[in-house]
Amino acid sequence: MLGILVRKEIADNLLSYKFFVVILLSAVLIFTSLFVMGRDYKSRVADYQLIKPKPDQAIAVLPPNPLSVFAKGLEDSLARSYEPSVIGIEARTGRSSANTVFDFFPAPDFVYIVKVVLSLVALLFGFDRISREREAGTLKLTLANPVSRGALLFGKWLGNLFSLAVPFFLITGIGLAILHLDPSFRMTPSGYGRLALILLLSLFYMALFLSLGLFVSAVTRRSATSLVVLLLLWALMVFVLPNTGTLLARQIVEVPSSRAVMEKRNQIWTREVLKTFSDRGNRTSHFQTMNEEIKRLEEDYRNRVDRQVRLAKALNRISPAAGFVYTATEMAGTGIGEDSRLKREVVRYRDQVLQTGTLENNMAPAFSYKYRPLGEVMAEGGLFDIAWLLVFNVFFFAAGFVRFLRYDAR
Amino acid sequence: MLKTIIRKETLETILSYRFPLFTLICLLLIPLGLFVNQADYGKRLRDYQEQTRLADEAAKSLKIQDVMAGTVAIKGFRRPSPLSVFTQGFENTFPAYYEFTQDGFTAGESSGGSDSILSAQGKVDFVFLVQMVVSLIALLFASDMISGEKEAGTLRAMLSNPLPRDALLAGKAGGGFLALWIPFLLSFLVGLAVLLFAGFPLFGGDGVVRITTVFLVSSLFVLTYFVIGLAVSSTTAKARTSLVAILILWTAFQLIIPKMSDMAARLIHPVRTDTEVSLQKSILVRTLDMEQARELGREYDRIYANAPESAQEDNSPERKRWDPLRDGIQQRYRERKSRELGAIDETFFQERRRQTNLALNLSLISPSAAFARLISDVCGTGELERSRYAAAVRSHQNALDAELFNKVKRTVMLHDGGHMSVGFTAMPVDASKLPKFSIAPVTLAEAFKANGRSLVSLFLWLIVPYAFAYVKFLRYDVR
Repeated sequence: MLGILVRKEIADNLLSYKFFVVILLSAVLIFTSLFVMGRDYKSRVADYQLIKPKPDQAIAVLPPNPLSVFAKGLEDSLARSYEPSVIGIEARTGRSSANTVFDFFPAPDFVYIVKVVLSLVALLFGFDRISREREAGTLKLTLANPVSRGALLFGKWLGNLFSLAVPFFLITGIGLAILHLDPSFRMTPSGYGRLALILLLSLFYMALFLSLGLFVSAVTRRSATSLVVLLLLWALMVFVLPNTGTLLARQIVEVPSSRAVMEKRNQIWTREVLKTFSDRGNRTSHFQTMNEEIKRLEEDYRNRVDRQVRLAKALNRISPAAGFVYTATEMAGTGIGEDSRLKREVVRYRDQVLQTGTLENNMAPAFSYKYRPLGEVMAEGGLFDIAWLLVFNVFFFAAGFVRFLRYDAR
Repeated sequence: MLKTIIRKETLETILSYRFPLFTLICLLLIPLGLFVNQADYGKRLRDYQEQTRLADEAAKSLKIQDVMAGTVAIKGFRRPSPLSVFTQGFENTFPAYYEFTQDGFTAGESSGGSDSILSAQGKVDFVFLVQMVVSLIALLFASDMISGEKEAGTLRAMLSNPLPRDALLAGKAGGGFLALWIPFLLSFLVGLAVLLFAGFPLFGGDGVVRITTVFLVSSLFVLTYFVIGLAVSSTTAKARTSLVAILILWTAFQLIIPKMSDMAARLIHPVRTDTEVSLQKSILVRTLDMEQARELGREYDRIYANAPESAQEDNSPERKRWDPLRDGIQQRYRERKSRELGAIDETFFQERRRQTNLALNLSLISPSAAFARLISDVCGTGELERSRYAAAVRSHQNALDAELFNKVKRTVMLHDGGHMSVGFTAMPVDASKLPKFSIAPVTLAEAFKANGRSLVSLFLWLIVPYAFAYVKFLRYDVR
């Protein structure tokens, strides 16, 4: 019976013009996104070739990450070049050619398209599944047959998910193939694995909105009502909640700005250097005090930032959209965790070149960095976010089921 | 009659379940967006004040020896724009400061800096909310204005009265928009109250006029989307069909056109990157410096080749020949350097301006881009501010060259044997009289003048869909 219901939903979708229009729209969006981000990646690679440090230069800079085409995340921050010196680490923007004309609009990466538009598309698939059938009178007829309401609802969910997933994977596959026509775009095998996980995560995310659509459709009597309610929830989940946590975290954990810390560091440095002039005998001890104080200052700053970010992330996760973006960017290696790890590695690199004294005589070893392995990403929040998306899915489906059991089909 | 229809439409919308939902969304989102950005602005302003104070202190203790050593770097800071609370525009991508040295200026880190880590979810400012959320709701409100009434059968009943169709359409547009505009106005006022409560300088300068302009232009933008929704509604027979059409239009306007126009401009007018140009410039500077050092060394060796010890004294005949010759060579190379560097800059500037203009003009196809451009210029975070900032940086560099950097002349000479020598001549510098860095503010009139095309785009998107809706509605089958 379930098979018939699923087939009916798919056939229903295939025969509706809405399906074709929505799929066409998704295709245009995904292709545009991959094209735009692919060009952006290419120009970043060209820039990297120009600013790439020479073998003996103590500069830490990462090459552009091909997965940033799909999830830009904090790539601009990750691609900065870090130049260690005695008083600290100077960060420079990794690319100076950034064409900022269109900073008005957010980077249209794949994750953004899924987060904003495909969630809306999933809602469009689910919003009128029950209320419209009631309006058309077919719900009455279906339920007159020996079919349980649970099976009917699950059939609808599965059928629509299938209608959503197949074109989604197909379009993304074609987009990826087109992207590969450009010889400068190369991904490692592990990159493909990560991309597959991002696609799976996107599917879970879309399924969640489908479940939500079915649930609201089972609560409302008219499909137009259902759509407006869903839009409100969508705006809340996609735009409001993912930022509320950040706002609260900023109020709760006070963090000085990075520039204020830099100024403080310079003050300590100047003070201790002046002291060494007046008190020549104790030069080493002054340098030691300076190093210790600067280290303490930086550590305190990093701890505060970490605390603020952790709190903001935890609070933002109330919205599944936030969790989705966090995990997708972490999987791509452009997330917040990757950024703070890179910064820690840069600090370690600076300590290393300072201790070995290779900075002064231009013999510094090259900076090398390995992206976080997937296992670590999963352990540090990835699995939780996936589970969280599934919990939302199950919750909305269960709520929809409960409402549908009592739904007046007349 | 028109008044009756407007009243009917307004009441109908207010009594529908959609109205409280929309009001709730606006009341939640707009004040929250303003509050978040106000907190950000406060932080940037505190940073700016602290940094300018430190830079001023450093400038006071400036010595000519530092200039001679070539270690002087004077910073010019850009004061964050208070109205960035409404739209961030380029605010976070502008360099927080520029560093001026004898060799030219370099951009400091962008104002967003490392604080951007928390913004992984994207920015949420007033303009973004109006663009993304309010516009969608306006489209939704309008989507079933005609097709919905047709489905309910009330359109037929209404038109059986002596009521011209144009009056009905105008009434629907006016009434529907009024019901949408009231909660929008309310949430904007609540947002302003939140800003006042948080200590934002709302009444300073021409702030009130600018904020009113922001609101009026936003209202015009929302009306534009409402009319587009109405046009879609009058072409479709079913409310659901118009919903899908609306979603497509919305996505095209918000996500596809603005980005595609940028890409199209890059394809049509490819431009070298900043990095390439600055590399080309630094190679040129190095080559010219080397040529100059070689020529100076050659001339110096020629004059002083067989000169006695006393030739270095001020009044010696060698010195009298050498000083004007050296000044002449240096002057010639300075002129040549500034001419050639200027030519590179000018070519790059023209190339880039052509590309930017093309991208901007193409993007104006979307009313969203037109709206964002106009408001960001009104708020001092847009393209105009960027060109003003760049002009201020160039003129400050020239002023500093005249007042400070040119007071010290460094003569680097490369002699025949390959050995190098350096000589200095220095004039006194009064650190307290150094020029202050400032950016000429963009007036409201200038913002409007520069955005004539954006306004035309917005009005076109208002008039054309309305005319289209009118023509379609005249032939609309109400059965």
